[in-house]
Amino acid sequence: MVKKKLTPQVLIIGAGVTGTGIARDLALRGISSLVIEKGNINDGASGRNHGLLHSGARYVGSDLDSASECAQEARILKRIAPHCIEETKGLYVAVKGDDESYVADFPGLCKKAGVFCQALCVKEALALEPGLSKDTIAVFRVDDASVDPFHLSLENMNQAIEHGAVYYSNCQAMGFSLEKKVIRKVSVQNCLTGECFKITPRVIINATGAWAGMVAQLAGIGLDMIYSKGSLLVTHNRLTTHVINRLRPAADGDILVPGRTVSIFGTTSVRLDNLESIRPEFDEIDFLIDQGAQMVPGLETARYIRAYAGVRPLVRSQNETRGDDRTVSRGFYLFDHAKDGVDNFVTITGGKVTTYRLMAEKTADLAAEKLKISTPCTTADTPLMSKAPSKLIEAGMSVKLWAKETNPGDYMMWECEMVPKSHFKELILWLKQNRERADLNSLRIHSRLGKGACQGTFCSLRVTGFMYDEAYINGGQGLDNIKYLLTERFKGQKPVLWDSQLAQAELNEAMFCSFFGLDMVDPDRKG
Amino acid sequence: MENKTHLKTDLVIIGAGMAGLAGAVFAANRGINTILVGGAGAFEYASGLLDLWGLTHPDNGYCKDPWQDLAQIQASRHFHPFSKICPSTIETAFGELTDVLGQNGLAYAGLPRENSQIITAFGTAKPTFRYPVTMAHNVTAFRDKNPTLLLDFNGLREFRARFVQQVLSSTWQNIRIAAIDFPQMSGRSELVTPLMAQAMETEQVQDKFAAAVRPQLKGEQFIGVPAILGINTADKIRKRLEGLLGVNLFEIPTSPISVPGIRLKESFKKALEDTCVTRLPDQRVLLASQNPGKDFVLETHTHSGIRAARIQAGTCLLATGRFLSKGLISDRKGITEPLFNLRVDQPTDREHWHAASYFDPKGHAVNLAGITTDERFRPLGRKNLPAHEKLYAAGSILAGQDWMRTRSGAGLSIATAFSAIEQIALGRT
Ligand SMILES: Cc1cc2nc3c(=O)[nH]c(=O)nc-3n(C[C@H](O)[C@H](O)[C@H](O)COP(=O)(O)OP(=O)(O)OC[C@H]3O[C@@H](n4cnc5c(N)ncnc54)[C@H](O)[C@@H]3O)c2cc1C
Ligand SMILES: Cc1cc2nc3c(=O)[nH]c(=O)nc-3n(C[C@H](O)[C@H](O)[C@H](O)COP(=O)(O)OP(=O)(O)OC[C@H]3O[C@@H](n4cnc5c(N)ncnc54)[C@H](O)[C@@H]3O)c2cc1C
Repeated sequence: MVKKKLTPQVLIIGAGVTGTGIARDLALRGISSLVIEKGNINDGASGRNHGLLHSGARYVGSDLDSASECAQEARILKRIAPHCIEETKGLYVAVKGDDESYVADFPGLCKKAGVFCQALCVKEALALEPGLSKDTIAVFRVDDASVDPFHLSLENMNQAIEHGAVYYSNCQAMGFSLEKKVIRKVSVQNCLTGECFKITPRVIINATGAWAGMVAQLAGIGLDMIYSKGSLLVTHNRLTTHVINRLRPAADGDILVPGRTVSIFGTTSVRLDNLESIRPEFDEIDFLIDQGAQMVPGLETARYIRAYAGVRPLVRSQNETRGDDRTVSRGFYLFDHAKDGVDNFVTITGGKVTTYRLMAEKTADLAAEKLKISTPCTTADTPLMSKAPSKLIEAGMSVKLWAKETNPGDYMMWECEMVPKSHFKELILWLKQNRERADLNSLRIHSRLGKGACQGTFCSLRVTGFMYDEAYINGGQGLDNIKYLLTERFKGQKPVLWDSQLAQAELNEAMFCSFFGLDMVDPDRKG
Repeated sequence: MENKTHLKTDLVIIGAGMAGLAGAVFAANRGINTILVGGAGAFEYASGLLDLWGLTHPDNGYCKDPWQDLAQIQASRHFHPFSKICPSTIETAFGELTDVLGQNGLAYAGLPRENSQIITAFGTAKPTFRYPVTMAHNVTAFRDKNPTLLLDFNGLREFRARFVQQVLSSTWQNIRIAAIDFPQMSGRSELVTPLMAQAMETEQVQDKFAAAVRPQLKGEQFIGVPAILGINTADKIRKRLEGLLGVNLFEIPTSPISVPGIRLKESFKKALEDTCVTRLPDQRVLLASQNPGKDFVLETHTHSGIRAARIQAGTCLLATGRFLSKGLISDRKGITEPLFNLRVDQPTDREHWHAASYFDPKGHAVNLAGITTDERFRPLGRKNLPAHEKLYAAGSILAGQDWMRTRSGAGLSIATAFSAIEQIALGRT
């Protein structure tokens, strides 16, 4: 590893939307940074959320500051990152039996928070969204949108790299060497190779979301974290054009967010004691579907292709003296650990994808201050557009592009998401130039490989064949890759395997186990 | 409703997968008047290989002698359908079926008491009991690690020679690869094996193929190709090409929809022509009922949902497969059998359907769910008595077996269909 890279001005721990957002912010200020991530980009909550770019309406009943913060930040993101956002608009829907006083107060509260909201008559709403329940009694239209957090984080990181930042995946922060109120060195371990090394930054930012308490503990600082798990379901088809919210105080199973070809439905709120296994429980899924079907009956019979869960971190009894005054609202927590006796250490946690840019700005301000650099933040006005190929992330869109660009020899690599070979080739080339490896797993992270209804049955095969042809992989690597992909994807598929998806799983297993014998392929076999 | 056909028969077989078709062949050989309802369904996914038993415990590797393991199953796994059939009966069933397929254009090969290892399109070696003779040199070339040329076809995604070569590189070094355009299809961006096989049926295409391959040979005595050597006369085509090229030619089975699966379907079709079996391939049974002591009455529909026939039969063989074929139906709450609402033995709830890890060596519990039968293959009802006196079940719908992990797909279907038909034949006399 090159020595220079290990002495950045700022070390950022965690590559979720916050960590990558901070890297971009610092890079645009000309401050060098290194991002380390124990897994891959968006392995945490940033890859396991609803993808709702909040208009703020959800919080008008509980937290007006959060509501207006969302409204402002959503407007900024729509301006700087339109390619990561789909302006779906949102509907707030009350059905028979819902609290009518909340319905009556809703428009007033929105007005107070500066959140756009317009009443629709039920007939009008049903014409807009025929999937809504016939028991609908009130509907408001808001400015909700759907955001692709993967795309957002990748663009953050790519733009930061284009401005000099460095990113190491699979590298976990393991310990701090403290000396006179300052962290001198950070010990890091590569989780794949086991290799350990040290980084000597001037400022350290802990952007590890739900894991923030554990990382703070490495510096002997106690953060009393509460973990609230939320589970989500992905449908095979897109069920609505708008984001649909239940018009009631925030509760379980009340948001349906369309994103390109699918819809994401959730969520729940379940306390966890630790972060060892973050996964949806079967009864949660059944409960969600029963709840959601009251609002959109199609959720009862929908075909679900995946389920996943993320954790929202909350910091307990965060009293005024400890909470930094830069925390503009209760929406997120920013700690300057100088107050805890560690001068060059900062923690940022909580918040939302919607407000990540603001969180990054406040955090970068604090880091810059510690470095005595006064260059201002420019992230709100700089387009979030890197040069990396992103066509593959935008499933569904790829088809349209393909139809326009078709040339002979180009064919679909995986059918359920309609991804042509040419886009795929472009991504592999880019991965080879910019990342350590171009295997099925890094492709999975940078594209929607294996996320469609076929559960990876056909796409993994074709893509592997293509990778062998182009000599990107050799020996038994392809089989190990497919095994790993199927194993990873299965975790998300398992809770929703019934009806057609169970049939699909049977075909998948017949092919990969009965016929190709992958269950008997030893993953440690030297290829 | 008025123009619906009324049919009456001794035996109705529901489902034309491996179990249904094999059952129909056995019924034909025994002169039982039969109606076979159902299209190919999951059958088209079949690889064309006839497995019997290939894997008992993953830790011990693939089994060489399936009979030895089957004897153990008889002794230890009382819930397994194979525990109800004696090995010599299974042997007879395989023999009877492969004879019929052989007489109808699809010859099978294999050792009497051992599995053979076939190289797949993944470069993995699959244990199987009987394989089409077009794959015979696949087995021997791999066994002896002969110098071999693997052929790639430009534009064919389902088979990539370098994939196979690389996966095998640690055990079988002297494989060379070469790419050619498939005759009359050059420039096409996407090729599919069934169309290639169809084209191979003409001598003109075979000659062009040979001409394209000849310059690629560098002394190899074996050539491997994906399974594309024709549909109806594959072995003749293979022999003709071997003559033209002066080498041994073999096929490698590919992922579905595969040509060997289509060949099986065609061979069965021929075998059942002009027999006492009537096929209704474009229909599905929608409703089935039986009153005690009376005949079964089945209502069939065409795929477009039009009512087609009303079938009356004294005996019924249920061979409707599992989830993929809709012989079993699942929802969030459980697994059901849709035609007779039979008892389905299954894990207590959905949470226990699957293991935590996809490749868990124990497999997934949901794959053991299904219909439990008595010794005569009659589905048991809630009180452990036969649900209907003359209802039988065969194939993958049966409980207590995981054909995918144990590599016993065709064998299970053939053996259980054979046993059921023997029982039915007995009951007739
Ligand atoms: C169920 C759910 C639904 C949500 N829905 C929405 C929504 O619709 N709209 C919205 O705006 N917000 C939503 N949110 C909130 C949003 O997802 C989070 O606020 C946001 O993703 C947090 O990003 P982050 O980067 O701070 O944390 P994370 O994304 O969790 O990133 C932390 C990263 O740190 C890494 N890490 C941890 N420890 C170490 C270590 N020692 N060394 C190196 N790396 C480490 C982790 O692997 C992880 O990648 C939702 C959250 C949940 C849980
Ligand atoms: C991808 C794949 C690979 C395979 N590879 C091998 C292999 O290498 N070796 C091997 O030995 N076996 C293999 N098999 C297994 C084999 O082909 C059979 O699937 C298995 O033997 C089970 O046969 P079956 O007849 O019980 O069920 P199925 O093959 O599932 O057939 C059931 C049939 O019943 C029909 N049906 C269902 N309901 C109705 C109704 N109401 N009315 C009419 N018809 C109905 C369905 O359409 C279907 O055709 C493979 C299967 C698959 C899917």
